[in-house]
Amino acid sequence: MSIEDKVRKRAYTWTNWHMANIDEIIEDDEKFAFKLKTCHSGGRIRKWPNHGRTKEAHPWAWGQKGVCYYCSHCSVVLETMGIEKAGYPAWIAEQQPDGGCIQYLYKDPEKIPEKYYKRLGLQKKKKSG
Amino acid sequence: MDKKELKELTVSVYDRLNQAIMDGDNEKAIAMIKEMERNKRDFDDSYREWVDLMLTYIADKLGEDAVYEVHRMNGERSLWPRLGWIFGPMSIEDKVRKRAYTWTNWHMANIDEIIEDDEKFAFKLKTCHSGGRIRKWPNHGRTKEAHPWAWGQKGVCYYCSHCSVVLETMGIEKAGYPAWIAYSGR
Repeated sequence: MSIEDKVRKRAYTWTNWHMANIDEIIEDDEKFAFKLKTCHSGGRIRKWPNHGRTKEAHPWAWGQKGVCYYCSHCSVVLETMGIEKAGYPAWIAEQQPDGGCIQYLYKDPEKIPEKYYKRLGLQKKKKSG
Repeated sequence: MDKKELKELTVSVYDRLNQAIMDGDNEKAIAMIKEMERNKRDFDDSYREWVDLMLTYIADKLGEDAVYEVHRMNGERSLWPRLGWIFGPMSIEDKVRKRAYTWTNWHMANIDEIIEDDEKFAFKLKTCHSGGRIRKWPNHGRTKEAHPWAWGQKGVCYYCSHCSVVLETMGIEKAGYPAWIAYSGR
């Protein structure tokens, strides 16, 4: 599928499956960024004062402490399992304050920064040759 | 990508449906409602799968009584704040109207029939759009033993047992009688 169609389908999951607006989709040379002031998946949970969150830093929760347990499904499924399946994350989540999130979809997986692998306790494989 | 398209991709189906109605485009609006229903069912099923998986995992790892504890916590945190009206000062007719609303406007599903007799109202659901959809899956989690928190029966869908725990047992604790009574006819 072309990257443009991936952007269209990813947008559709927000607008027609979660049925929520995306605040902005920004394109630069390397990637598309989906900006959500409140993520209509885990962002709504993160607005609750007493939601469950990690007590320790785990590689399955972006290597950070205090990650919303629900939100860690993005770290596990879309990032770690994405790397296991395809060699790179399906998309990358960067949590923002007050339930916000920015999700990055890279045009070329080779351009995904190494830090997004490291936070999962993984190493980015260098392209051979 | 074209900036205009990127902007259009951000708009939720609700906002586009509102716009179609405002524009008087009935055909488009009806098509969107059908699409919304398909997506809503799939979305809800994905979360049912998740809950079923978690309850089954909890039962396997911690024992089946842990499922009962989770249902009680969910009852206090999530369900009673939404359904506590059932014990409020309200006519039985208004309770029937509000209970019907939870099916038609919250689960967004049809009720097959509401039958009244001298003693009660019966809400008949060929497929319950809460746990009934889970019970259609061959491998859903179900009790291995009979528990009082799951209608005293073995083989009860873990998810469905929330009705036994929250609406029946906890209802009796709160008001002296169940909020309503479920009969699954399994």
